[in-house]
Amino acid sequence: MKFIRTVFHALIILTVVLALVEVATAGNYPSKPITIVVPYAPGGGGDAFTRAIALQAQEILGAKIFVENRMGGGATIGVGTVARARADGYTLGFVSSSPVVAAPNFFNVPYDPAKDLTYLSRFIISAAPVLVRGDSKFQSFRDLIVYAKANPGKLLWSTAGINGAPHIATEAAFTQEGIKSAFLPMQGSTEVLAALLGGTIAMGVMSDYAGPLAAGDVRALADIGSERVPDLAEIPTYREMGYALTPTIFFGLAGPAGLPAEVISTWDHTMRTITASAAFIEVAKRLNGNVAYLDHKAFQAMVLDEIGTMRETLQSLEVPK
Amino acid sequence: MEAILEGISLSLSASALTGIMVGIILGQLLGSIPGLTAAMAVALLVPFSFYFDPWVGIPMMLAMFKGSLFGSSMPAILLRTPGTPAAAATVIDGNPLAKSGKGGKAMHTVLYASVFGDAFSDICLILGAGMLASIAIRFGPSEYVVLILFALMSLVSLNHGSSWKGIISILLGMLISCIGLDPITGTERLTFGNLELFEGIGLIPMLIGFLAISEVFSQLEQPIRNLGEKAITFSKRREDNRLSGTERRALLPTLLRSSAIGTVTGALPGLGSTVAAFIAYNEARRTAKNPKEFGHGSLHGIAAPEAANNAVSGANLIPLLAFGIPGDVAAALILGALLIQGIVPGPLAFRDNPVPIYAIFSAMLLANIVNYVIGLGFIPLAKKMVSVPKRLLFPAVLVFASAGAYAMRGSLFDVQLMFGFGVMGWLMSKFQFPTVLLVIGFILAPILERSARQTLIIVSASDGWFAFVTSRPVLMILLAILAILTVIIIRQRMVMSRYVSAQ
Amino acid sequence: MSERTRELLLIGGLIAGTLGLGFGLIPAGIEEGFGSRGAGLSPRAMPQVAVAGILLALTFGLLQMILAKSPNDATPATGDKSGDHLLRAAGAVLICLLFAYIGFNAFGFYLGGVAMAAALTLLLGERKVLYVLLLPILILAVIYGLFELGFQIKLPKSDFIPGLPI
Repeated sequence: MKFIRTVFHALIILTVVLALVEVATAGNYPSKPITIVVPYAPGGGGDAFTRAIALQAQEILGAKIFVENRMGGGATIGVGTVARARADGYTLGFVSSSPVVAAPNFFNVPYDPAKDLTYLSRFIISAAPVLVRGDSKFQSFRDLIVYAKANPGKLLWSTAGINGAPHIATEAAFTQEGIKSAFLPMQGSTEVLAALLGGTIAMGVMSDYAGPLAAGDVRALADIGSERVPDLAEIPTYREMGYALTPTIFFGLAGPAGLPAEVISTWDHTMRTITASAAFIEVAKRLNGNVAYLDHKAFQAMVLDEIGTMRETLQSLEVPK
Repeated sequence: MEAILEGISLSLSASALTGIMVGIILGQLLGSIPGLTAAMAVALLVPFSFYFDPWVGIPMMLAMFKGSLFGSSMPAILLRTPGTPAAAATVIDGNPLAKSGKGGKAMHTVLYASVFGDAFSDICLILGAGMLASIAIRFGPSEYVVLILFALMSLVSLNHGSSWKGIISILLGMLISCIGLDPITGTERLTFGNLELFEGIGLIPMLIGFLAISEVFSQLEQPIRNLGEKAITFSKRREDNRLSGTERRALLPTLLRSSAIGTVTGALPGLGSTVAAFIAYNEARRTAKNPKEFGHGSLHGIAAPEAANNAVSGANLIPLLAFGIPGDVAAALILGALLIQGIVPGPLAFRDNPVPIYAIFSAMLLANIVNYVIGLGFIPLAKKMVSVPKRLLFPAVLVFASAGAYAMRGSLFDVQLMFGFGVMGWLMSKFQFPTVLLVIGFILAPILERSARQTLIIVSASDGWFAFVTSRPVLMILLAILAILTVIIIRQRMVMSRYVSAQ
Repeated sequence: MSERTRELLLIGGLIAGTLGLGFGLIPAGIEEGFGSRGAGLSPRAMPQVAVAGILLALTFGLLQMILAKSPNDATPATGDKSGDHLLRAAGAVLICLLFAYIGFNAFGFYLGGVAMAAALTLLLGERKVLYVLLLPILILAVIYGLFELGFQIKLPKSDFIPGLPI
């Protein structure tokens, strides 16, 4: 057992030495590496955007930025990690509409989206259009409504995720019209697109549409949002058609509640520079997102407004959960 | 034609070749470490692919996926630890063969089958993407139900010995797969409010726990002298460490059938390579001359799942190139990289900008050759790595497994889960409950349940069952094949039991 | 204890456990009313089918045991001979669980991993100081290179030693 003592002594010495080299963390932000938590898997759901931003922000801020994927709980675990982190600006997170606006209405999430997060900046919004097959007999959203009214329970449709913004908004619109439809739960836009093209479903609502739309395999009839986006400029929105729930699908950056003013202003400046750069606009165009920058103040107000509207509409419309 | 030649010459450029080599080496290495996947590496590369030419970046990523499918079978054979879920079926025959000293032969079989499956599906992709995709798009949830039933048949044939224990293992796997959000209603199932369980039990902690960790625990029960032995001993005889020409020829029918199964499965989005591997394994066993060899180190039992899972990876690009629908995570990442390059996959890509696509095709074929050559060098390396005494290897396996389980989702919960499953698997094998069957039940049940419940919803929105089935020609064909196969299997069983009782 | 009694006890225990699962855990853990949207099966359907199947298989096993012609009581249980080895396996299980639940959190993955690997190597009968000490450090160094440097996957760190980068 002699060597156990040796090990023990070695460990003590190691501890003392390392305690002495404690890094001093005084000075201006950022003085050490920043971690951005992405609540989605590598490669999907905003991970690519976050990595593109991290690359540019690294140069602007002069500090190393790590992107950490923390999946699970329908993106709520990762957002929860950010909400609980120390509010020093060294742990930030990618946020999208789903874990912040939609999910808290359906699950007990480990954070209060209105109180536990500082919304730093929004950088992307995407459309989520109502799609039908290219050779479909439905020429407008009105055609779909008329068909569904005449054939209760026969209009088979789907979205990329259960209880996501496209699902809830469309369900709310149908409830407003007094329509009984058949919703087919599916996982991921891939499955929905395949089912749509294969003729299993008549209509799909989702954000991944660029390729098939350009090829003419699908047609867009309406967008669930409140304002028209550039690449779908001739398509009416749910708001224009008079529906109550018109959520915006956004990508943004957030941190824990109570971030220092210095951190907020640093990121306002950084994100304004990045979102205006030609490189980022090109990446966004190719990844099928619309650059729509909002600074901390505007983003915070927008998110709080969306959270409130979603909650109220769900209560007043009695959308079946 | 000019575009094709230009594409080929681009793929033969020095930078493209370097990309392929780096991709294959990285892929084989990553695949052989459970918890590190080629998908992770590719995801890190996607933002950088902006700066590469498409015929350098994309083949490099594809090469990584090809390499990792081969690499993931090395630990499956040598340590009973599939490096990725796709190699789960390779454990069944590969590990027994390695235990009998023929690990070298097993690894050469894998390499041969992997490259064969890859090449087969690449050629199908190049020659018939449009046609295959237009058939594949007709598969909906109801067709998936029948396909999973095909895969479930492999359970019937795998379940020898005390059969009721095998059935319990399968059902237990199904039960564990229910944990998480309900696929149809989105309600919580057996999570008891634990957010870590929302997206279900992870496949990696499950596989490593039940197959590898449980094996380590049961080996620890052996006398202390055995722990000084090497984990795997390799036979010195030359013919045990290579694949002879006769064996290669004998494997050809199995390889062709399995590659075809893999290509069809790969063209269908969402089914995945693990499902293809099990369907192919079952078909190989059903058509084998001596099915009794299966499960004890049959070369056909190794070659079938390997050819099938590799064939899936090329075929996953079929729906991507035809409609812009990625078949799995790998294809989704490739889609991301293509979009960053400004190439929108779909029929328009061939018309507007065909040169990069032909370059990618030709680079894929080239990658298969590189995969084979580098694989030949990787096999002796893999032998060296496991040639240490068990008492030094096992701690390394346990610590590496912890790191891998953590890395998948960044969660210590998965590490705890993995060791929990390890204990459970150890106790199960002490009482002769087959853990492999539990894993298969766990993998297949979610697709079966989801597709079956989706089918019910679709039928309720159509005009009754009869109208539904007759409106789907693919479903009718599949049902007919299912009926014929069932009759054949029942007859085989009856003949076998008559033979046994006559003795 | 004979093989036969051991098996019978096992089946009895499993039947009790499965009943508890079917009538206790599944109704408590899966709400039915909430997800009424859409047609089709209830969320409880598949787990309950699985539980019913397990019960059927257990009953079949029990019947097979009871109806077996000659109970082969002569064969002793396999567990008896390997008592001390069982203890070693149990020790390894304990070490693994201890680090998964407490060690990695308290010391971080790297310090904890070195300690875990060293403890396991000791338990498995290695007595050379060099191996017990250096091998774990080597393993964790390889993991650091692959995960932290290669893939930028950050494994858990702790505040056990402030300022330590691992």
